[in-house]
Amino acid sequence: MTSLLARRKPLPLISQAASADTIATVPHSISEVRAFQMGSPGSENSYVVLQVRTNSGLIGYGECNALSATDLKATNQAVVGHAATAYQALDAVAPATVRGGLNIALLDILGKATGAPIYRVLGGPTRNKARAIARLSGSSDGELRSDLQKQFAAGFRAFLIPIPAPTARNQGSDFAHLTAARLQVMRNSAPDADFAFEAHAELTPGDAASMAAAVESMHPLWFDEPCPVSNLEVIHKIADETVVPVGFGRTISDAGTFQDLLRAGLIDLLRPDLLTYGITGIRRLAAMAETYYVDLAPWHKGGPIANAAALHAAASIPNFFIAQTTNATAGPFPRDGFFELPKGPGLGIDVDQKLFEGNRIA
Amino acid sequence: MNRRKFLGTAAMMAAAVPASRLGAASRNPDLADSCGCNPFHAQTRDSSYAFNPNGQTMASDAFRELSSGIKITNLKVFGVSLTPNSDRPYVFVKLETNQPGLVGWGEATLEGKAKSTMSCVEDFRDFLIGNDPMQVEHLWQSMYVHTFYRAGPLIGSAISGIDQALWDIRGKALNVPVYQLLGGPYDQRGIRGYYHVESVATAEDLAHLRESALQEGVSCLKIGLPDHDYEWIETNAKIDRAVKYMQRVREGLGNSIDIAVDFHAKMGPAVASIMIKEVEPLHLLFVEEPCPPENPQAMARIARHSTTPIATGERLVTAYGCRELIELGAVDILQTDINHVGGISALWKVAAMANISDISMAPHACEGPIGGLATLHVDSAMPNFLVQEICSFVKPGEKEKIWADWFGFPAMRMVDGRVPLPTKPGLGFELSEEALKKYPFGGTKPMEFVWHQDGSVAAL
Repeated sequence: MTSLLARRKPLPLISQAASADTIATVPHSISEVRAFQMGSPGSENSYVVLQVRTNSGLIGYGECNALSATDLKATNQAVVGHAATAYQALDAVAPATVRGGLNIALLDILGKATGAPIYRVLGGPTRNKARAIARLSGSSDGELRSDLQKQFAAGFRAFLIPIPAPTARNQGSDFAHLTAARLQVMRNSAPDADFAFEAHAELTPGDAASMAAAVESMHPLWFDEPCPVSNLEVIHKIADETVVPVGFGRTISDAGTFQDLLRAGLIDLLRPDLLTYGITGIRRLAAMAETYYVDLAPWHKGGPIANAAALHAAASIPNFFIAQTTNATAGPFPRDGFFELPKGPGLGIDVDQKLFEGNRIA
Repeated sequence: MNRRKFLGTAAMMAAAVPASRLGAASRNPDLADSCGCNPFHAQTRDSSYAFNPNGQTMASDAFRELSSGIKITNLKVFGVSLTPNSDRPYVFVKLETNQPGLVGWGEATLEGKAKSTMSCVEDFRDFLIGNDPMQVEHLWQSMYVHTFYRAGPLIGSAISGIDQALWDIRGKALNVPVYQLLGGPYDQRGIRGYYHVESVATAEDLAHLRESALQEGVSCLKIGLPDHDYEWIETNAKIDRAVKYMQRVREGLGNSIDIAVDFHAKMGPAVASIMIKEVEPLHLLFVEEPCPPENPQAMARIARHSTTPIATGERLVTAYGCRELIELGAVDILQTDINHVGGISALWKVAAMANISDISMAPHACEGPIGGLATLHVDSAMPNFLVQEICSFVKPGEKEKIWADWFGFPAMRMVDGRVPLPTKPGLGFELSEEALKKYPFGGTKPMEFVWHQDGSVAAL
C-alpha cells in the first residue's frame, strides 16, 4: 500500500510553480487572484468576493466565507500561470479557505471562454427553473407572519421558519406544542405555501425528536439542522423516531461525514455550504447522494455572486430540491415559487466592481 | 398493490389536502384511471402521455427558453468486426446535429452481445432526435430513469455510447477538449497506463519484457493466471502453480515495475483469499476481480484477509451499481468501464463517489478506441486517478495499426509511459464512416466457453 499512497501525492505540473513559458502558452492562464472583504470580518453578513483575472482578459468571480491575506497570497503563488479552466485540478493546490470560491470563479471563466452558462458547460440544465425558499425573519409568531406576507408577495412559496428559541434543555410538552402552533399560524396565513423548520442545531437530539413528532402529521418539507452532528448515534434519535425529513450540512466541511450520514440512513436532504464546496464539490456530493435517492439544497451565507452560483449548481445536478438565497431585500426574487435560471455566459451576472473596490484584501 | 393503482390512490389523497404550489399536484384525470398495464396504450411523440402532468413529451419541450439551439437530427449505430468472427465487434454510436459538421461519436461495445447492444442503442433513437445534445445530464437521467427497469450491462452500454457522443458534441460545440469541461488536467503530460503481457513462459521472456518496458517508460504491467478453470475449492497443485507463477514474474520484472494480476473472477472468495495471502510479500499493484462481481460482501471478505490491494468494477453499471462496494470501503481500486457504466457522466460520478472513500480509479477501457480515448479525458480530471488499462502489448499489434488508420494518430499508444491527452475539441478525434466500411459487422459471436474437468461450467 505504500507505493499507492506515494503515487497519490504527485500532481507534477500542478504542484510546481508555473514556469514563464507555460504562462505564455496556456490559454486563459491565471494572471492574478484578488479578494475583497464584504461586511465587517467575523460578522453575520461577512463574506469575501474573489476576482480571478486571466492573461486573455477574462475576469471570473466567486465568493468565499472568509479569506486571510496569507491565504490569498498562497493562492496566488499556487495558481498564477496555470490554466484557469483546470477548475478541478487546481482545487488540490489552493488553501482550503479559498477552494469553494475559486471553483466558482474558474467555472465563471470557463463559461465566459466558451460562451456558455456554467450549467451548460457542466451538461445541464437539468431543470428550467429552480425552486426557491426564503428564511423568515422575526422571533414572535406575529413578526414571522408579517415577514411571510411580505415574502409571499415577493414570489416565494416556501419558507424556513425558525423554531421558538429553546429556553432550557429537554423542554418537553410546552415546547412541542408551541412549535406545532407556530406552523399552524403560518399555514393559516398562507395555505398555498410550504414550510420547513430551522433549528440552528440548537436542540438536543431528544428535543429535536419530540418536536419533529409533534409536527409530523403537518408534513413540513423538512427539519433543518435540528441538532448538532456530533456523532452518528445521536442523529439516530431524530432520524429513527420520526419520519420528518431531516437536513444537515452547513457545518459539515468533510464529504466523508455526508457519506457516513447517508450510509446510516440519517439524512434526507444534504445542505452543504456552497462557498465551502464550490459548484464542483456540490456536484460530487450530489453524485453520491443520488445513489441513496437523496436530494441537495445547497446553503450559503454569501452575496449575489453566491446566489447566482447556487442557481447554476441547481441546474447542473439531477437531485436538487430547493435554493435558499440571501439578501431578502434586493433579490433575486422568484416567480410563483421558482427562480429563473441565468442565461448569459459563465455565472451570467454583471458584477459592479465599484461595490467592493475599496475593500481589497492585501 | 399495483404500482399504477397506488399512484392513482396517492393522487386522490393529494386532492384532500390543500393545494401546494410547490408540489404542483397533478389534476390529470388519466393519472387516477390508467392502469399502466394496458397494451393498447400508445406513447407517441405527438400525444401526451397519461403520466405527464406538465404536458411535456420531449425532454426539450420544457427548455425552449434555455435551448442552446443545437438539436440532434440523426442517430447511427455501427457494428465493426475487425475479423468476421470477432466475439467483440465494436459498437460505435454517431449522433448528428442541425449544425453543419457537428457530430459526436461514442462507444457502446458489450462483449459477446453486439447485436443486442446495437438494437438497444436504436431503441433510444426516437427519444434523442429533436433534443438538445448539450443537456447531457438531463438526457442521461431520462434514458436511465424512464427505462423503468433501470440499467444492467446492456442498457448501460447503450447509454454509455450515447453519453460519450453527447460529450463529444458538447466539447466540439464549445470548442474545448472534454477534459477541460471536466476541470482537468491534473497532469498535462498525459495519462499513466499499463499494458498487458504477451508471454512470460521463460526467464528470457521476462528479461526481454522488463527491458522493453523500461525502454518505453512503461511503469506497470498486467498478467493473468496460469490456469483457466479454477473451482470454488482448489487443489494444492493449482494454488501452488498460481502462486509460483506470480512470484516468478515479480522476480523477473524486478521491483521497479508495478505488477497487476487479473484473477478474472475465475474463482470464489475461498481460493482467492488463499492465493492473495500467499503473494502479499510481492507487493502487487493490485489483484483484479478475485471473485465474481455480483456480491460486494464476498469481495470485501477477500479484501479483509490481506493487505494486497483489491481492484474490481469493470462489470458494474452506473454509480448505483458501485454504491455498496464503495460503502464497504473494502476495495482499494475501482476499474469502472466507460462503455458499460453509463459513459463519461457515470464514470465521473463513480470516481467522485470513490474519492470520498479514498478509493483509487484504474478505469477499464478494453474494448474499442473510442471508449479508451473518452476515458483519458475523465482520468485527467480525477483526484483519485491511479492508472488506465490499455488492452495492448508493449509492442504495438495489428489492431493498433487499424486504429491509427482510422484516427490518423496512434490512439492509446503510450509515450514515455503515458497516453498523451487529445488536444482537439470534444473527444479529440475525427472518424469517417468510410473508414469503418472495411470492417463490416460480422454478427454476434459468443465469448469463449470454459468447462471444468467434469464438464460443468467454469468462469471465463
